[in-house]
Amino acid sequence: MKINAELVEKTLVLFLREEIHKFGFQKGILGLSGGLDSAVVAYLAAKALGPENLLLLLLPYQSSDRNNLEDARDVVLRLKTPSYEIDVTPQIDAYFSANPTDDRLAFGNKIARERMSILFDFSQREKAMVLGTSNKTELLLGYGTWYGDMASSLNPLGDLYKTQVFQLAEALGVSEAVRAKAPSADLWPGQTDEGEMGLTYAEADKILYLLVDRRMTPEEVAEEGYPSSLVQKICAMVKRNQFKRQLPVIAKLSHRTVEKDFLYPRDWGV
Amino acid sequence: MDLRNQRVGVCQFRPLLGDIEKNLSKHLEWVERGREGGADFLVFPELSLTGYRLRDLAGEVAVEADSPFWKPLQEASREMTLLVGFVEKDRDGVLYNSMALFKPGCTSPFIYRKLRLPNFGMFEEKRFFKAGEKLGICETVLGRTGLLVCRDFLFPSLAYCHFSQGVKVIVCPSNAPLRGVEGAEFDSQRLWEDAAAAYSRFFSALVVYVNRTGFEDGYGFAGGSFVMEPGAKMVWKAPPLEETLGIVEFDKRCFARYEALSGYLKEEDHGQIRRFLLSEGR
Repeated sequence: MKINAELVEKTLVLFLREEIHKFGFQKGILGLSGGLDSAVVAYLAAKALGPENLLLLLLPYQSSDRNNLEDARDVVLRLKTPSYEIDVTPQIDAYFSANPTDDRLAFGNKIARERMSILFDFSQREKAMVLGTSNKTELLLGYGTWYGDMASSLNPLGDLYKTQVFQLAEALGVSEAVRAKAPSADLWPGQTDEGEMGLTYAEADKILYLLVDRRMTPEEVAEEGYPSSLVQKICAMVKRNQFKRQLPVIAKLSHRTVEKDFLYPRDWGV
Repeated sequence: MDLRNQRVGVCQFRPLLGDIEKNLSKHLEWVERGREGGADFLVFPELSLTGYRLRDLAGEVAVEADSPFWKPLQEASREMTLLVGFVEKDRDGVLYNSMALFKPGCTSPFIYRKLRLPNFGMFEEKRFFKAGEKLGICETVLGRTGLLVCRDFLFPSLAYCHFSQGVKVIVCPSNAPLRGVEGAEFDSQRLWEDAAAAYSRFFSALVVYVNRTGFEDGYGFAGGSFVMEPGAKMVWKAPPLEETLGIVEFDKRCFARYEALSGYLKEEDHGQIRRFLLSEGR
């Protein structure tokens, strides 16, 4: 699972530059949470586009961890990129005061989607392409908000497990403060990814690597010494969240249907 | 036979997906650069006129082998052999993943249709193309030359067929996506170099591997083109990911020298192998 961080960095910098320029954009934009994944994408994009062509949006909610905001500001200072801070509290609170809920997942999803909507609004204003920050672990386990943080135009991290993102972060020189803290979606106080999912990234990544990359069966993975219950749980999460990794399903009626047999590359006509 | 040193131009090239006119212009620019470098034979990657991930675009960018489209390349090949990749459409509208070889003085290109179309995992070539049915062997300025396009090259059986037909130079235009980022190089690079090492060593071939660069829909093409002389002697290698034109000179005496060292050509018995194959293993 150990990556050659230098080779990965070179590949992803070229990927970002080429895919952004190809679509006629000079700029990229992303939401910077103060966490690991968005910091890594910011470092890569600053290298790919030049810091002046990267716009970082800091979008805290009132309950967001103050340290995350400080760490995000620190990334902006280090990279010397343009940035905006927009407190999403008024719009979130306005919505929930009219439509109250006790479901904290619904609450968290709403914040993630609100941030998405701001990013795409600024994408239009600034003519900047929205960069995603979901890593392979999150995509496989479905640990993300559909059309929230999972929504973007380009995702440089989608084929790197969380532990590999850590390796890349170290090679890129992302600060110790960002690398050392517990990964968290920070959608409510005290939330951590590992606490919420009931597993550790270290273990989940190894299991996913064996299941997905090495194409082992769950039984074979368990034979490698991983708890069978954990392997089963991870398999169930991967299957249950398959829908999040796809476009909406279209009912086929005609002889040629979008996504089914209207098969053009995304780079068509750019 | 012309025994002077030959120069192979390796075009580690990045085409624009689906835009054959722009790609043609770019080919002509590279031909000019090749001419300046004194290339005798300029090799472009697989599907160099169209890009790779075409899907339904394949039919829209297809060209017939006798199309007037080829005129500029035909003219450009007056002093230099050119090998370019394209989507071929036959008279019935069937599509092939093909290479067109333009030799100085020839009025129509030699066409080779890729034999092994990968169709698994991320590959879906069989969905859009029909496989060819003939080996791509032709006399060129380099000597007896065999074409193996990308996945063709990963079948030692096909490389052996070239060997048994007296091929000295195996040219492999490729569109190999990068995979595996654990080691010093992409894991995928090993595949090509290992196969080339085997063919150059045991089939006494000069191997010219020409891969593209650039990204299409998130697939990155690895570059890493190279020229390997008989005996697994790497004489030139391009960097990964970056567009590069390499003009690589090689000495035609390398074949005789290697035979003196290895004796493989003398000892191989193709007639016997043919008999073994026909007796179905008995």
